[in-house]
Amino acid sequence: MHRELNDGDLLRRMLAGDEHAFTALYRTHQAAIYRFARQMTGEAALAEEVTQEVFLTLMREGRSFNARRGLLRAWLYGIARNCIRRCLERERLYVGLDSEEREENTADLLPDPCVPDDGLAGLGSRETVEQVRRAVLALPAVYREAVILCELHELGYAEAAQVLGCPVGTVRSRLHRARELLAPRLKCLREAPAGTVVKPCRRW
Amino acid sequence: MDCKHFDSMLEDLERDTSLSAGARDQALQHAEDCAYCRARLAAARLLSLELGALAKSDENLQAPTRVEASLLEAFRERTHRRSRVWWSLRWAGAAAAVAIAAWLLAEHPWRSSETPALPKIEAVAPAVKLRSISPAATVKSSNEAAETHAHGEHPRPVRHRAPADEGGEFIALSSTSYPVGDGMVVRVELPRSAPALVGLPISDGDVSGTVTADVVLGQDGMARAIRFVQPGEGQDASQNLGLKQN
Repeated sequence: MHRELNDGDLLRRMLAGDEHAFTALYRTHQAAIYRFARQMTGEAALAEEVTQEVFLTLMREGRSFNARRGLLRAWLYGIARNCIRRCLERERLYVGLDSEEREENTADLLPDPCVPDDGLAGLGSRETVEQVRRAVLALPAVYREAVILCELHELGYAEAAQVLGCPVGTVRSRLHRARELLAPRLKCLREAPAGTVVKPCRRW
Repeated sequence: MDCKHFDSMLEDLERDTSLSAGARDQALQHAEDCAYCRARLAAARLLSLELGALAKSDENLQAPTRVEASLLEAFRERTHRRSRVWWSLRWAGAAAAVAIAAWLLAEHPWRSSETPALPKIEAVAPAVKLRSISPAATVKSSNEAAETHAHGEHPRPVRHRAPADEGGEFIALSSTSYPVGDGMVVRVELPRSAPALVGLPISDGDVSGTVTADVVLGQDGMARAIRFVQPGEGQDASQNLGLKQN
């Protein structure tokens, strides 16, 4: 019954107490939110916590959503982003200060970007995917969220700008910078011994 | 196109968004001619493919089912709580409405019609011959007087007994039912506009001069009721002069 309804209708029904509408909204958006949180934090438990918090916020503050400002999806991403930020700040308390400095300076120590000799041979292999994941996790959060939203979730610049609460130009420049940081990191990881652990950068 | 310009549109070349065909061709042509930009384009394409592989790898990621179960439980609890609050408010509103209605019924002036009637005054102040002050007459019913007489007692002198048809019915002056007890009836003269104060019409619309009235006074001296005496009823109109209050 709810499959034909758009997000706005479902939200109205949900706010009126319709459990099926809430379920429909949850099932539509939970995967993207969970994935975003998982890619941002690198931890399933945190992603689960963030997903739960996002939909609890939807229950509590769904009335404050304004459809004229953008899509419900972008609004939910925005809530998720704030939750992730809080989680990372909290987790940061347990991370040594020097480790962040090391992460921040890694990009400057890496060699200039170059095309690897092996080309596309290993692309899509589990190991390559994990290398990319680690490289993304090692990015500073502002660049990481830009690359995750625009590259992995394929949001347009405008929608990403709505999520991040910044101008479109800022999204573009952050994405550009993120890609510049990623390429050498990936090269570095490809050359690193297998099993190297990269913790997510917690600096926002 | 120079390398700087090419660099600025590198992401757009990869994302294939909002880039005109002309600009795209120019950029690709520049990459053909510039080895550095060609390498950057190749690196960017590789990065896009690697990111695409990561996206594809994660596309089936879902929150565990326990999250949905927990959220649904929270939703039900919240809805139930809101429902309880809503019904509490409705009941409180209904109770308040009933209380207000009860108060209005108790205090509204309509209720004066339900006020117990004052005792029938049968003995009234005499049609005085005094011009200044009407003497007080003890309020006694005619039945009481007759009973006294039947017991062989010497009847107390009732100074004057006004005819029963001397005036109209007494009009209560207070909505509260104060006891009259052994009240008095005094005859007074009031301005001709006085009947209007108790809702009676002013005869002939003439407000000059005075009218005669009998006022029932309680033991506390407060006026309880009033009736207006028509001129010529039980007394001569000329006797209704000069009475102020006793």
